Amino acid sequence: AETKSLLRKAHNHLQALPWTGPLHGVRGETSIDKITIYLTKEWLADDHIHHILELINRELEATMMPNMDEPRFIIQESTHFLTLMGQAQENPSTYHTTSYDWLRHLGESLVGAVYNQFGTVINLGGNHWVACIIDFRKETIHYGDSLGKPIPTLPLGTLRWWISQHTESTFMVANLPITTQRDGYSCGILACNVIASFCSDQRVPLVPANRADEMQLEIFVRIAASHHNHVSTH
Amino acid sequence: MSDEEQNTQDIKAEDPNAPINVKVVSASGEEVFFKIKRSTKLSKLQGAYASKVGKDVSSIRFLYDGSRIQDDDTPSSLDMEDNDTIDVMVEQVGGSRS
Repeated sequence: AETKSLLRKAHNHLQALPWTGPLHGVRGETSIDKITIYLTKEWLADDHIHHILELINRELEATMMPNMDEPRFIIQESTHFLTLMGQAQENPSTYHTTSYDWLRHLGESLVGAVYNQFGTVINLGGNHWVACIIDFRKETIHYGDSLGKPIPTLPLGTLRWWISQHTESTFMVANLPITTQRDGYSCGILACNVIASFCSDQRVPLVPANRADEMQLEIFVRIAASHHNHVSTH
Repeated sequence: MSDEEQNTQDIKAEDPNAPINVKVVSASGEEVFFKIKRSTKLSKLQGAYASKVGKDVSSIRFLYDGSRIQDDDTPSSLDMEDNDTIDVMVEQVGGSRS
């Protein structure tokens, strides 16, 4: 019944959306036609992951009360974070220049316990999305690959280099309980889902593999609704 | 620097029509320089960069301070300073590791 309701909503949105033009209601520069990818089995791009993580950030901010006992997290919506971190690693002297103020400030806020956890989705090899959460309180890099593979040397080395710029502690690696992928396209949605689940202390449930399509459908409905809401109020 | 010179610089920095030099750097380290007004939408710079390097603007991503630049962002709205850098990344996709 829930899927039917989502399908009906998606159908209604599709009838009301223009064929193309800028997408409103979410950040990033995207055209409307790109969100129809959520209704297909095509691979998700960085823009899609950005949208999903933005929705997760909004949902978690709206439902979680500030609580000192609760880990405070920051979810980076841009999937290019690791690439930029890698560039700093290649030229470490630049890390202490103004170019990397933003990255240094992030590290300092994590070490200083402004936030405890930092989550992001990483692109591996131009064809796969994985989840990563660095917990500075527990000194742990949590890694989740929906295909069950361990963290490769490249992201691990870069993450450890960045951590070493801010603390002398050695962080251990732990597995995120990500849903195992059973198809050839759902790694992105599963990576976002495990970040939401982990950061919400499991209040957001892990999506079963056979319901990943339904989650994408829901994402489409929420983004289309956000677009319509923005257009009707601006 | 005298106080008068400092004040002149501060006023200039806040002038939306004052030009600012912006460096656009690709992931491979190639640099392209632009001089634009602080009030100019960065979407114009993005289009100009894409034309210059011969790429479709929808296939590349522009980031400032690690975050995606938005449609309506300007140097002024992002508090950009002279000679600041915009990073350019190619689109990433993923579905299943081959």
